[in-house]
Amino acid sequence: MADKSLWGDLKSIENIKTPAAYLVEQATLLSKETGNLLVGVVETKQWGVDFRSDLIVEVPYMNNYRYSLLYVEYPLEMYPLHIYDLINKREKECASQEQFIDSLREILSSPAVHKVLATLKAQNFSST
Amino acid sequence: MITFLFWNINKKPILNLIVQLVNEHNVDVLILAESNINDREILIELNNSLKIVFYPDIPIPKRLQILTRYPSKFITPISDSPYISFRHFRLPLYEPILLGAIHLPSKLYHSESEQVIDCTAYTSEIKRAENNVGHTRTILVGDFNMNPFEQGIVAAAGFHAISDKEITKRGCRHVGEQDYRFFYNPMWRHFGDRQGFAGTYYYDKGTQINYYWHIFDQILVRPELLEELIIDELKILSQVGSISLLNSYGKPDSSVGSDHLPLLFSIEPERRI
Repeated sequence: MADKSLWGDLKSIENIKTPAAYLVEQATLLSKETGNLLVGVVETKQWGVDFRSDLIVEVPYMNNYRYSLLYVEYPLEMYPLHIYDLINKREKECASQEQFIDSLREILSSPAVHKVLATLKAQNFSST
Repeated sequence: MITFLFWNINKKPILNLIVQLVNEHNVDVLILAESNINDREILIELNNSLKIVFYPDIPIPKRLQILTRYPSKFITPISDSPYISFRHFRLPLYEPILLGAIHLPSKLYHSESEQVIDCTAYTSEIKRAENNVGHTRTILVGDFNMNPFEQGIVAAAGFHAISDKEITKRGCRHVGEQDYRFFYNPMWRHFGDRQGFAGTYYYDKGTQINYYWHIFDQILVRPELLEELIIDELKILSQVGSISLLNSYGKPDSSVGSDHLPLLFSIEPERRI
């Protein structure tokens, strides 16, 4: 009796990635693709009854100056979530993981974000 | 002496008033919230009208604008997050100062209890900035969207800002298992209508509790700067030259200026010998 699983089929449980995990992936990619001239950082904290994850760019050559690109507020069940684009000054509700990834792509590849990254990267060379 | 001017200009095109105020009060550090006027426009106007040049901040989008009379080699950007921007002032001859410019979410979007919870996150940003620069000679200035008596401002885990200089001099307070550093909040001196108006922002609502006037725009200083803050120079301004920022009812006149009144203060930083 004791050896018999009462859990049902645990293998069928979905592997779910949190919104913070997606941000961490993008943060890691930013660091890698800029040769650590810009370092992506994700900070997650409890935010009222929800969670909040901030995607921050750190610039090592500027005394680790930190610039917040965006943040995501999400409940325990993760969706719907709100994503706040701090550069383009926009807020969007994402009902699903797919919508979240689309919104994240739209923000991170936007000309305004690229301009900020270019400005921050350029500071590396002006401060050496 | 370093003179600071903070103004939430409520997206109003009032560059002429800003320039006039900077001139009139010999402002060294200009901090604007809710500004739709870009840095370039402000710098052109300021530098056309003043003998001393104002310098730009790091050229990336931010919620708060910080322009100063000091070349960038004396000012290190520490961080820009959605609600707080930190700059480290290392001026020749003076002990350094960490400036935190603040514009917290409006009560329209965050309930009072949410504001309190949010404040704990802001305090970790302050700690991080202080750790980064290696001192706690910190000034916070801005639109907190809370009054000096509200929980987020007073709570130990919030800004922990109180009205009594002597208590602030103790440095910190032990609550539960933790030490919480104090801020001194000199804005308490500005309650009441002694100066003809009773705050920096006026809002009349038809609810049971109505304060009418609020002091959302505040400065907070760490105990290390208590003696360097020139308390008599801390003013809520209601005039720009001969132009009144108040309407005929004595309330902020949005058709002339902003719905907030500007805040002026000066610091005489300790000299490095």
